[in-house]
Amino acid sequence: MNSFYNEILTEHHLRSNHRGDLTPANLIRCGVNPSCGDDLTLRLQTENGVITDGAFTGDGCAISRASADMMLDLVIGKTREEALALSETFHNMILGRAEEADEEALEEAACLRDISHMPSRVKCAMLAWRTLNEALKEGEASSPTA
Amino acid sequence: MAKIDDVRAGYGFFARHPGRIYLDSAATSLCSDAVLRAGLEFDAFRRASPYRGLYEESVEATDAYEGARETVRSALNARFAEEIVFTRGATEGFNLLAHSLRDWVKAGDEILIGEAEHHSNMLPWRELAKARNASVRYLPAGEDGRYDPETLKKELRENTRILCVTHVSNVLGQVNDLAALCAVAHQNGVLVVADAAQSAPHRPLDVQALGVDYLCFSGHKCGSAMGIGVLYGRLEQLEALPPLLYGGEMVDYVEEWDAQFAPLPRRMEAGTVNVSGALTLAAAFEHMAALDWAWITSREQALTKRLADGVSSIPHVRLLGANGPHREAIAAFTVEDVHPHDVAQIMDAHGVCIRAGHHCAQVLHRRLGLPGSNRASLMFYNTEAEIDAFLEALSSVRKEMGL
Repeated sequence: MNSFYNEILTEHHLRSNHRGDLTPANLIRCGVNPSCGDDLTLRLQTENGVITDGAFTGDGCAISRASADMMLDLVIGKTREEALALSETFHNMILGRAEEADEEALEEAACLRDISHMPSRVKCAMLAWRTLNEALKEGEASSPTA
Repeated sequence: MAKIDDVRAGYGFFARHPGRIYLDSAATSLCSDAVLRAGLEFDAFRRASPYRGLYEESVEATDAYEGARETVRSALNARFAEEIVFTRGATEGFNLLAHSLRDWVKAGDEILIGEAEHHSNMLPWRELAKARNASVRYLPAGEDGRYDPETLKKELRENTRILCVTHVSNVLGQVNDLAALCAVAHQNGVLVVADAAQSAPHRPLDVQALGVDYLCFSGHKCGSAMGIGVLYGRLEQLEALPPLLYGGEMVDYVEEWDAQFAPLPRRMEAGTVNVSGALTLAAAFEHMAALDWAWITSREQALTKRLADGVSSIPHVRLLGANGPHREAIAAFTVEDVHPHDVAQIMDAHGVCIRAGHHCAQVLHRRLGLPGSNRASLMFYNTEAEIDAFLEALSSVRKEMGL
Protein backbone atom coordinates (compact mmCIF):
# COMPACT_ATOMS: atom_id res chain seq x y z
CA MET A 1 0.00 0.00 0.00
CA ASN A 2 2.63 2.49 1.01
CA SER A 3 5.79 2.25 -1.08
CA PHE A 4 7.62 5.13 0.53
CA TYR A 5 8.83 3.09 3.47
CA ASN A 6 10.65 0.88 0.99
CA GLU A 7 13.29 -1.73 1.60
CA ILE A 8 16.25 0.66 1.54
CA LEU A 9 14.71 3.00 4.06
CA THR A 10 13.56 0.21 6.34
CA GLU A 11 16.98 -1.49 6.21
CA HIS A 12 18.77 1.69 7.20
CA HIS A 13 16.24 2.38 9.90
CA LEU A 14 16.02 -1.04 11.54
CA ARG A 15 19.44 -2.48 10.74
CA SER A 16 21.55 0.66 10.69
CA ASN A 17 25.23 0.32 9.93
CA HIS A 18 26.19 3.34 11.99
CA ARG A 19 23.79 3.64 14.87
CA GLY A 20 25.39 3.71 18.29
CA ASP A 21 28.27 5.18 20.20
CA LEU A 22 31.70 6.00 18.77
CA THR A 23 34.90 6.26 20.73
CA PRO A 24 37.18 7.98 19.99
CA ALA A 25 35.22 10.78 18.34
CA ASN A 26 36.79 14.20 17.92
CA LEU A 27 33.72 15.91 16.42
CA ILE A 28 30.43 15.63 18.28
CA ARG A 29 27.36 17.62 17.38
CA CYS A 30 23.69 17.52 18.38
CA GLY A 31 20.87 18.42 16.04
CA VAL A 32 17.18 18.75 16.76
CA ASN A 33 13.88 19.41 14.99
CA PRO A 34 11.84 20.70 17.93
CA SER A 35 8.63 21.01 15.96
CA CYS A 36 8.38 17.32 15.16
CA GLY A 37 10.40 15.69 17.93
CA ASP A 38 13.48 14.46 16.03
CA ASP A 39 16.83 14.60 17.78
CA LEU A 40 20.22 13.35 16.71
CA THR A 41 23.76 13.19 18.08
CA LEU A 42 26.46 12.80 15.47
CA ARG A 43 29.89 11.50 16.48
CA LEU A 44 32.70 11.72 13.94
CA GLN A 45 36.37 10.86 14.00
CA THR A 46 38.41 12.97 11.60
CA GLU A 47 42.10 12.74 10.83
CA ASN A 48 44.00 14.99 8.47
CA GLY A 49 40.81 16.40 7.05
CA VAL A 50 39.27 12.99 6.34
CA ILE A 51 36.23 11.53 8.10
CA THR A 52 37.54 8.15 9.18
CA ASP A 53 34.53 6.96 11.16
CA GLY A 54 31.11 8.11 12.32
CA ALA A 55 28.03 7.07 14.28
CA PHE A 56 24.69 8.51 15.37
CA THR A 57 22.23 8.14 18.23
CA GLY A 58 18.86 9.77 18.83
CA ASP A 59 15.09 9.43 19.03
CA GLY A 60 14.01 10.62 15.66
CA CYS A 61 11.58 9.32 13.08
CA ALA A 62 12.45 6.59 10.59
CA ILE A 63 13.33 9.10 7.89
CA SER A 64 15.74 11.03 10.10
CA ARG A 65 17.45 7.85 11.24
CA ALA A 66 17.64 6.22 7.82
CA SER A 67 18.93 9.45 6.34
CA ALA A 68 21.63 9.67 9.02
CA ASP A 69 22.69 6.09 8.34
CA MET A 70 22.82 6.57 4.57
CA MET A 71 24.73 9.81 5.04
CA LEU A 72 27.40 8.10 7.14
CA ASP A 73 27.72 5.33 4.52
CA LEU A 74 28.53 8.10 2.04
CA VAL A 75 30.81 10.42 4.01
CA ILE A 76 32.98 7.97 5.91
CA GLY A 77 36.25 7.89 4.04
CA LYS A 78 35.63 11.23 2.35
CA THR A 79 37.41 14.52 2.95
CA ARG A 80 35.70 17.40 4.70
CA GLU A 81 35.26 19.21 1.38
CA GLU A 82 33.82 16.14 -0.34
CA ALA A 83 31.38 15.63 2.53
CA LEU A 84 30.20 19.24 2.37
CA ALA A 85 29.74 18.93 -1.40
CA LEU A 86 27.63 15.79 -0.95
CA SER A 87 25.61 17.66 1.65
CA GLU A 88 24.80 20.38 -0.85
CA THR A 89 23.88 17.80 -3.50
CA PHE A 90 21.54 16.09 -1.04
CA HIS A 91 19.96 19.41 -0.11
CA ASN A 92 19.35 20.18 -3.79
CA MET A 93 17.78 16.78 -4.31
CA ILE A 94 15.44 17.28 -1.36
CA LEU A 95 14.39 20.63 -2.79
CA GLY A 96 13.76 19.01 -6.16
CA ARG A 97 16.65 20.82 -7.78
CA ALA A 98 19.04 17.95 -8.47
CA GLU A 99 20.16 16.39 -11.75
CA GLU A 100 20.33 12.65 -12.32
CA ALA A 101 24.11 12.68 -12.23
CA ASP A 102 23.94 14.27 -8.79
CA GLU A 103 21.68 11.51 -7.57
CA GLU A 104 24.22 8.89 -8.62
CA ALA A 105 26.75 10.49 -6.29
CA LEU A 106 24.25 10.09 -3.44
CA GLU A 107 23.96 6.31 -3.96
CA GLU A 108 21.29 4.86 -1.65
CA ALA A 109 20.49 8.26 -0.16
CA ALA A 110 18.89 9.09 -3.51
CA CYS A 111 15.92 6.95 -2.47
CA LEU A 112 14.84 9.93 -0.39
CA ARG A 113 14.22 11.99 -3.52
CA ASP A 114 10.44 11.69 -3.02
CA ILE A 115 10.77 13.89 0.03
CA SER A 116 10.92 16.80 -2.38
CA HIS A 117 7.15 16.25 -2.62
CA MET A 118 6.64 16.04 1.14
CA PRO A 119 7.44 19.43 2.66
CA SER A 120 6.60 18.23 6.15
CA ARG A 121 9.36 15.57 6.04
CA VAL A 122 12.16 17.71 4.55
CA LYS A 123 13.48 18.66 7.98
CA CYS A 124 13.54 14.99 8.98
CA ALA A 125 15.69 13.99 6.02
CA MET A 126 17.91 17.03 6.40
CA LEU A 127 18.55 16.72 10.12
CA ALA A 128 21.67 14.56 9.87
CA TRP A 129 23.12 16.55 6.97
CA ARG A 130 22.46 19.85 8.69
CA THR A 131 24.13 18.52 11.82
CA LEU A 132 27.07 17.30 9.72
CA ASN A 133 27.47 20.75 8.12
CA GLU A 134 27.51 22.40 11.51
CA ALA A 135 30.00 19.86 12.89
CA LEU A 136 32.39 20.21 9.95
CA LYS A 137 32.24 23.99 9.92
CA GLU A 138 32.77 24.21 13.65
CA GLY A 139 35.59 21.66 13.45
CA GLU A 140 37.25 23.74 10.77
CA ALA A 141 37.08 26.82 12.94
CA SER A 142 38.44 25.24 16.10
CA SER A 143 40.84 22.45 15.09
CA PRO A 144 44.49 23.02 14.19
CA THR A 145 45.38 22.86 10.49
CA ALA A 146 46.51 19.44 9.23
CA MET B 1 -31.52 7.79 3.49
CA ALA B 2 -30.20 7.40 7.03
CA LYS B 3 -29.86 10.63 8.98
CA ILE B 4 -26.08 10.45 8.89
CA ASP B 5 -26.03 10.18 5.09
CA ASP B 6 -28.26 13.21 4.91
CA VAL B 7 -25.95 15.08 7.27
CA ARG B 8 -22.80 14.13 5.35
CA ALA B 9 -24.42 15.18 2.08
CA GLY B 10 -24.40 18.72 3.45
CA TYR B 11 -20.61 18.79 3.66
CA GLY B 12 -18.71 19.50 0.45
CA PHE B 13 -15.58 17.83 1.85
CA PHE B 14 -16.90 14.29 1.42
CA ALA B 15 -17.81 14.66 -2.24
CA ARG B 16 -14.50 16.36 -2.96
CA HIS B 17 -12.42 13.75 -1.12
CA PRO B 18 -14.23 10.43 -1.62
CA GLY B 19 -12.74 7.63 0.42
CA ARG B 20 -10.65 9.92 2.63
CA ILE B 21 -11.23 9.55 6.35
CA TYR B 22 -11.01 12.81 8.25
CA LEU B 23 -10.11 12.24 11.89
CA ASP B 24 -8.57 15.57 12.79
CA SER B 25 -11.62 17.58 13.85
CA ALA B 26 -9.84 18.58 17.05
CA ALA B 27 -7.50 20.60 14.83
CA THR B 28 -10.29 22.03 12.71
CA SER B 29 -13.77 20.75 11.98
CA LEU B 30 -15.38 20.33 8.59
CA CYS B 31 -17.69 23.09 7.52
CA SER B 32 -21.18 22.47 6.11
CA ASP B 33 -22.43 24.20 2.97
CA ALA B 34 -25.33 25.79 4.87
CA VAL B 35 -23.01 27.32 7.46
CA LEU B 36 -20.69 28.70 4.80
CA ARG B 37 -23.59 30.15 2.87
CA ALA B 38 -24.63 32.16 5.92
CA GLY B 39 -21.32 34.02 5.77
CA LEU B 40 -20.92 34.16 1.99
CA GLU B 41 -24.40 35.46 1.51
CA PHE B 42 -23.74 38.39 3.80
CA ASP B 43 -20.52 39.36 2.03
CA ALA B 44 -22.05 38.86 -1.42
CA PHE B 45 -25.40 40.57 -1.01
CA ARG B 46 -25.69 42.37 2.30
CA ARG B 47 -22.24 43.74 2.86
CA ALA B 48 -22.13 46.93 4.91
CA SER B 49 -20.29 48.03 8.02
CA PRO B 50 -22.38 47.61 11.14
CA TYR B 51 -23.01 50.29 13.80
CA ARG B 52 -21.86 53.44 12.07
CA GLY B 53 -24.03 53.76 9.03
CA LEU B 54 -27.40 55.44 9.26
CA TYR B 55 -28.66 53.81 6.12
CA GLU B 56 -30.80 50.72 5.86
CA GLU B 57 -28.07 48.28 4.84
CA SER B 58 -25.85 49.21 7.78
CA VAL B 59 -28.72 48.83 10.21
CA GLU B 60 -29.35 45.37 8.75
CA ALA B 61 -25.69 44.45 9.13
CA THR B 62 -25.83 45.55 12.77
CA ASP B 63 -28.94 43.48 13.34
CA ALA B 64 -27.36 40.44 11.68
CA TYR B 65 -24.20 40.69 13.82
CA GLU B 66 -26.06 41.31 17.06
CA GLY B 67 -28.43 38.50 16.10
CA ALA B 68 -25.42 36.19 15.90
CA ARG B 69 -24.29 37.37 19.33
CA GLU B 70 -27.73 36.58 20.76
CA THR B 71 -27.60 33.09 19.21
CA VAL B 72 -24.28 32.48 20.94
CA ARG B 73 -25.57 33.88 24.24
CA SER B 74 -28.49 31.50 24.11
CA ALA B 75 -26.31 28.54 23.09
CA LEU B 76 -24.07 29.14 26.11
CA ASN B 77 -26.94 30.01 28.42
CA ALA B 78 -25.15 33.23 29.34
CA ARG B 79 -27.33 35.75 31.19
CA PHE B 80 -26.55 38.72 28.97
CA ALA B 81 -25.44 39.46 25.43
CA GLU B 82 -22.91 41.83 27.03
CA GLU B 83 -21.06 38.76 28.27
CA ILE B 84 -20.33 37.55 24.73
CA VAL B 85 -17.25 39.04 23.07
CA PHE B 86 -16.39 37.92 19.55
CA THR B 87 -12.68 37.31 18.96
CA ARG B 88 -10.53 35.76 16.25
CA GLY B 89 -10.42 32.50 18.18
CA ALA B 90 -9.52 30.93 21.52
CA THR B 91 -5.84 31.88 21.29
CA GLU B 92 -6.68 35.53 20.77
CA GLY B 93 -9.25 35.39 23.57
CA PHE B 94 -6.73 34.10 26.12
CA ASN B 95 -4.08 36.58 25.02
CA LEU B 96 -6.40 39.59 25.14
CA LEU B 97 -7.71 38.48 28.52
CA ALA B 98 -4.23 38.00 30.00
CA HIS B 99 -3.25 41.39 28.68
CA SER B 100 -6.34 43.00 30.10
CA LEU B 101 -5.80 41.48 33.54
CA ARG B 102 -2.34 43.01 33.67
CA ASP B 103 -3.13 45.59 36.33
CA TRP B 104 -5.24 43.18 38.36
CA VAL B 105 -2.33 40.79 38.93
CA LYS B 106 0.19 42.01 41.51
CA ALA B 107 3.76 41.05 42.41
CA GLY B 108 3.74 37.93 44.54
CA ASP B 109 0.45 36.67 43.12
CA GLU B 110 0.25 33.14 41.77
CA ILE B 111 -1.33 31.79 38.60
CA LEU B 112 -2.13 28.08 38.70
CA ILE B 113 -2.10 26.46 35.25
CA GLY B 114 -3.23 22.94 34.47
CA GLU B 115 -0.32 20.77 33.31
CA ALA B 116 -2.35 19.44 30.37
CA GLU B 117 -3.21 22.88 29.03
CA HIS B 118 -2.86 23.81 25.39
CA HIS B 119 -0.13 26.42 24.92
CA SER B 120 -2.80 29.08 24.26
CA ASN B 121 -4.10 28.80 27.84
CA MET B 122 -0.60 28.54 29.26
CA LEU B 123 1.86 30.89 27.56
CA PRO B 124 -0.16 34.13 27.85
CA TRP B 125 -0.40 33.53 31.62
CA ARG B 126 3.32 32.79 31.96
CA GLU B 127 4.11 36.04 30.15
CA LEU B 128 1.68 37.90 32.39
CA ALA B 129 3.34 36.46 35.49
CA LYS B 130 6.80 37.44 34.20
CA ALA B 131 5.63 40.98 33.48
CA ARG B 132 4.02 41.39 36.89
CA ASN B 133 6.57 39.51 39.06
CA ALA B 134 3.94 36.91 39.82
CA SER B 135 4.60 33.19 39.98
CA VAL B 136 3.27 30.24 38.03
CA ARG B 137 2.60 26.72 39.31
CA TYR B 138 1.12 23.71 37.58
CA LEU B 139 -1.94 21.77 38.64
CA PRO B 140 -1.20 18.12 37.98
CA ALA B 141 -3.66 15.88 36.20
CA GLY B 142 -4.52 12.53 37.77
CA GLU B 143 -3.62 9.06 36.49
CA ASP B 144 -6.73 9.11 34.34
CA GLY B 145 -5.77 12.47 32.84
CA ARG B 146 -8.41 14.57 34.63
CA TYR B 147 -7.94 17.45 37.06
CA ASP B 148 -9.24 16.36 40.46
CA PRO B 149 -11.11 18.98 42.56
CA GLU B 150 -9.61 17.37 45.70
CA THR B 151 -6.11 17.86 44.27
CA LEU B 152 -7.02 21.45 43.42
CA LYS B 153 -8.04 22.07 47.04
CA LYS B 154 -4.57 20.99 48.16
CA GLU B 155 -2.75 22.93 45.44
CA LEU B 156 -4.44 26.30 46.00
CA ARG B 157 -2.45 28.77 48.07
CA GLU B 158 -3.06 32.08 49.84
CA ASN B 159 -1.71 34.00 46.88
CA THR B 160 -3.33 32.01 44.05
CA ARG B 161 -5.44 34.39 42.03
CA ILE B 162 -6.12 32.74 38.66
CA LEU B 163 -6.78 29.12 37.67
CA CYS B 164 -6.38 28.17 33.99
CA VAL B 165 -7.96 24.86 33.11
CA THR B 166 -9.36 23.11 30.10
CA HIS B 167 -12.88 21.68 30.00
CA VAL B 168 -11.78 18.86 27.69
CA SER B 169 -8.09 18.05 27.08
CA ASN B 170 -7.11 18.17 23.42
CA VAL B 171 -4.67 15.31 23.99
CA LEU B 172 -6.10 13.13 26.74
CA GLY B 173 -9.68 13.61 25.61
CA GLN B 174 -10.87 13.59 29.22
CA VAL B 175 -13.79 15.78 30.31
CA ASN B 176 -12.99 17.64 33.50
CA ASP B 177 -15.62 18.37 36.14
CA LEU B 178 -15.38 22.07 35.45
CA ALA B 179 -18.29 22.99 37.73
CA ALA B 180 -16.61 21.26 40.69
CA LEU B 181 -13.24 22.87 39.90
CA CYS B 182 -14.91 26.30 39.74
CA ALA B 183 -16.68 25.72 43.05
CA VAL B 184 -13.38 24.93 44.77
CA ALA B 185 -11.65 27.88 43.10
CA HIS B 186 -14.38 30.32 44.06
CA GLN B 187 -14.41 29.15 47.67
CA ASN B 188 -10.82 30.40 47.67
CA GLY B 189 -11.44 33.62 45.77
CA VAL B 190 -9.70 32.39 42.63
CA LEU B 191 -10.70 33.49 39.11
CA VAL B 192 -11.31 30.64 36.66
CA VAL B 193 -10.32 30.91 32.99
CA ALA B 194 -11.60 27.89 31.09
CA ASP B 195 -10.63 26.53 27.69
CA ALA B 196 -13.74 25.24 25.93
CA ALA B 197 -12.09 24.74 22.52
CA GLN B 198 -12.66 20.98 22.68
CA SER B 199 -15.95 20.98 24.60
CA ALA B 200 -17.99 23.60 22.72
CA PRO B 201 -18.01 21.46 19.55
CA HIS B 202 -19.34 18.38 21.33
CA ARG B 203 -21.81 19.42 24.01
CA PRO B 204 -24.17 22.30 24.80
CA LEU B 205 -22.37 24.51 27.30
CA ASP B 206 -24.11 26.17 30.21
CA VAL B 207 -21.75 28.85 31.48
CA GLN B 208 -23.97 29.59 34.46
CA ALA B 209 -24.05 25.97 35.60
CA LEU B 210 -20.31 25.64 35.01
CA GLY B 211 -19.68 28.78 37.03
CA VAL B 212 -16.66 29.90 35.00
CA ASP B 213 -15.51 33.51 35.17
CA TYR B 214 -14.09 33.43 31.64
CA LEU B 215 -14.30 30.91 28.87
CA CYS B 216 -12.81 30.87 25.37
CA PHE B 217 -13.42 28.75 22.30
CA SER B 218 -12.86 28.87 18.56
CA GLY B 219 -15.58 28.76 15.94
CA HIS B 220 -13.60 26.78 13.38
CA LYS B 221 -13.60 23.74 15.67
CA CYS B 222 -17.39 24.03 15.96
CA GLY B 223 -18.05 24.01 12.24
CA SER B 224 -17.85 27.72 11.49
CA ALA B 225 -15.46 29.65 9.28
CA MET B 226 -11.94 30.26 10.56
CA GLY B 227 -11.16 33.60 12.16
CA ILE B 228 -14.02 33.80 14.67
CA GLY B 229 -14.25 32.78 18.30
CA VAL B 230 -15.84 33.74 21.56
CA LEU B 231 -14.59 35.07 24.87
CA TYR B 232 -17.33 34.73 27.48
CA GLY B 233 -16.92 36.74 30.66
CA ARG B 234 -19.26 36.96 33.64
CA LEU B 235 -20.74 40.45 33.54
CA GLU B 236 -19.39 41.46 36.96
CA GLN B 237 -15.89 40.50 35.77
CA LEU B 238 -16.10 41.90 32.27
CA GLU B 239 -17.53 45.23 33.46
CA ALA B 240 -14.39 45.86 35.51
CA LEU B 241 -11.97 44.90 32.75
CA PRO B 242 -10.17 47.57 30.74
CA PRO B 243 -10.77 47.30 26.98
CA LEU B 244 -8.87 44.56 25.18
CA LEU B 245 -7.99 46.50 22.03
CA TYR B 246 -8.29 50.20 21.31
CA GLY B 247 -9.43 51.93 18.16
CA GLY B 248 -12.61 52.48 16.27
CA GLU B 249 -16.05 51.13 17.19
CA MET B 250 -15.18 50.69 20.87
CA VAL B 251 -15.39 54.40 21.65
CA ASP B 252 -18.34 56.69 22.15
CA TYR B 253 -16.36 59.89 21.88
CA VAL B 254 -12.72 60.89 21.63
CA GLU B 255 -11.20 64.26 22.53
CA GLU B 256 -7.56 65.21 22.31
CA TRP B 257 -6.77 63.96 25.80
CA ASP B 258 -9.79 62.00 26.86
CA ALA B 259 -12.01 59.24 25.54
CA GLN B 260 -15.19 57.65 26.63
CA PHE B 261 -15.46 53.99 25.76
CA ALA B 262 -18.58 52.28 24.52
CA PRO B 263 -20.66 50.08 26.77
CA LEU B 264 -20.20 46.30 26.78
CA PRO B 265 -19.84 44.32 24.63
CA ARG B 266 -18.82 46.80 21.92
CA ARG B 267 -16.08 48.22 24.16
CA MET B 268 -14.28 44.86 23.83
CA GLU B 269 -14.46 44.63 20.05
CA ALA B 270 -12.29 47.26 18.41
CA GLY B 271 -12.22 47.76 14.66
CA THR B 272 -14.62 46.53 12.04
CA VAL B 273 -15.94 43.21 13.25
CA ASN B 274 -15.95 39.89 11.42
CA VAL B 275 -19.63 39.88 10.55
CA SER B 276 -19.54 36.98 8.10
CA GLY B 277 -17.49 34.94 10.60
CA ALA B 278 -19.96 35.62 13.39
CA LEU B 279 -22.83 34.65 11.09
CA THR B 280 -21.17 31.31 10.33
CA LEU B 281 -20.67 30.70 14.04
CA ALA B 282 -24.32 31.37 14.76
CA ALA B 283 -25.25 29.16 11.82
CA ALA B 284 -22.99 26.38 13.18
CA PHE B 285 -24.77 26.49 16.54
CA GLU B 286 -28.15 26.51 14.82
CA HIS B 287 -27.00 23.58 12.68
CA MET B 288 -26.11 21.53 15.75
CA ALA B 289 -29.32 22.47 17.54
CA ALA B 290 -31.28 21.43 14.44
CA LEU B 291 -29.43 18.07 14.36
CA ASP B 292 -30.45 17.72 18.00
CA TRP B 293 -27.75 17.72 20.66
CA ALA B 294 -29.09 14.45 22.06
CA TRP B 295 -28.43 12.78 18.69
CA ILE B 296 -25.00 14.41 18.44
CA THR B 297 -23.81 13.47 21.92
CA SER B 298 -25.09 9.91 21.84
CA ARG B 299 -23.59 9.35 18.39
CA GLU B 300 -20.25 10.84 19.38
CA GLN B 301 -20.16 8.86 22.62
CA ALA B 302 -20.70 5.61 20.71
CA LEU B 303 -18.09 6.50 18.10
CA THR B 304 -15.62 7.58 20.79
CA LYS B 305 -16.07 4.29 22.61
CA ARG B 306 -15.51 2.37 19.37
CA LEU B 307 -12.39 4.43 18.68
CA ALA B 308 -10.90 4.20 22.18
CA ASP B 309 -11.75 0.52 22.68
CA GLY B 310 -10.26 -0.24 19.28
CA VAL B 311 -7.02 1.68 19.91
CA SER B 312 -6.67 0.05 23.35
CA SER B 313 -6.93 -3.41 21.85
CA ILE B 314 -4.18 -3.11 19.25
CA PRO B 315 -0.94 -4.69 20.47
CA HIS B 316 2.01 -2.32 20.88
CA VAL B 317 -0.32 0.72 20.77
CA ARG B 318 -0.90 2.77 23.89
CA LEU B 319 -3.89 5.05 24.39
CA LEU B 320 -3.15 8.26 26.30
CA GLY B 321 -5.61 9.03 29.09
CA ALA B 322 -8.06 6.60 30.66
CA ASN B 323 -10.38 4.57 28.44
CA GLY B 324 -13.42 5.37 30.51
CA PRO B 325 -16.74 7.22 30.56
CA HIS B 326 -15.08 10.65 30.65
CA ARG B 327 -13.59 10.50 27.18
CA GLU B 328 -14.92 12.78 24.48
CA ALA B 329 -14.18 12.58 20.75
CA ILE B 330 -10.39 12.41 21.08
CA ALA B 331 -7.94 9.50 21.16
CA ALA B 332 -4.23 10.27 21.30
CA PHE B 333 -1.86 7.29 21.23
CA THR B 334 1.66 6.09 20.67
CA VAL B 335 2.85 3.15 18.57
CA GLU B 336 5.79 1.27 20.04
CA ASP B 337 9.04 1.79 18.10
CA VAL B 338 7.36 3.90 15.45
CA HIS B 339 7.76 7.67 15.51
CA PRO B 340 4.46 9.61 15.38
CA HIS B 341 5.52 11.26 12.14
CA ASP B 342 5.96 7.93 10.43
CA VAL B 343 2.62 6.69 11.81
CA ALA B 344 0.81 9.71 10.40
CA GLN B 345 2.46 9.34 7.02
CA ILE B 346 1.54 5.67 6.72
CA MET B 347 -2.01 6.45 7.80
CA ASP B 348 -2.15 9.15 5.14
CA ALA B 349 -1.15 6.57 2.53
CA HIS B 350 -4.12 4.52 3.79
CA GLY B 351 -6.42 7.51 3.31
CA VAL B 352 -6.69 8.45 6.97
CA CYS B 353 -6.04 11.97 8.27
CA ILE B 354 -4.64 12.04 11.80
CA ARG B 355 -2.27 14.32 13.61
CA ALA B 356 1.32 13.83 14.77
CA GLY B 357 3.34 15.90 17.21
CA HIS B 358 2.71 17.37 20.61
CA HIS B 359 -0.57 19.09 19.72
CA CYS B 360 0.53 22.36 21.34
CA ALA B 361 0.87 20.63 24.71
CA GLN B 362 4.61 20.13 25.17
CA VAL B 363 4.50 20.42 28.96
CA LEU B 364 2.00 17.56 29.08
CA HIS B 365 4.10 15.42 26.76
CA ARG B 366 7.21 16.03 28.85
CA ARG B 367 5.34 14.91 31.93
CA LEU B 368 4.18 11.81 30.07
CA GLY B 369 7.78 11.19 29.03
CA LEU B 370 6.91 11.36 25.34
CA PRO B 371 8.49 13.36 22.53
CA GLY B 372 5.14 13.35 20.75
CA SER B 373 2.08 11.29 19.94
CA ASN B 374 -0.56 10.71 17.32
CA ARG B 375 -4.13 11.89 17.67
CA ALA B 376 -7.38 10.82 16.05
CA SER B 377 -10.41 13.00 16.75
CA LEU B 378 -13.97 12.66 15.56
CA MET B 379 -17.18 14.58 15.16
CA PHE B 380 -20.81 13.54 14.56
CA TYR B 381 -20.23 13.40 10.79
CA ASN B 382 -17.84 10.45 11.13
CA THR B 383 -19.11 6.86 10.80
CA GLU B 384 -18.49 3.45 12.35
CA ALA B 385 -17.04 2.28 9.02
CA GLU B 386 -14.52 5.12 9.13
CA ILE B 387 -13.45 4.25 12.67
CA ASP B 388 -13.03 0.61 11.64
CA ALA B 389 -10.97 1.56 8.59
CA PHE B 390 -8.78 3.74 10.84
CA LEU B 391 -8.26 0.85 13.26
CA GLU B 392 -7.41 -1.54 10.46
CA ALA B 393 -4.84 0.85 9.02
CA LEU B 394 -3.36 1.49 12.46
CA SER B 395 -2.99 -2.27 13.00
CA SER B 396 -0.80 -2.54 9.91
CA VAL B 397 1.59 0.32 10.73
CA ARG B 398 4.26 -1.69 12.56
CA LYS B 399 4.32 -4.33 9.86
CA GLU B 400 4.80 -1.67 7.20
CA MET B 401 7.72 -0.34 9.20
CA GLY B 402 9.33 -3.78 9.09
CA LEU B 403 8.61 -4.59 12.75
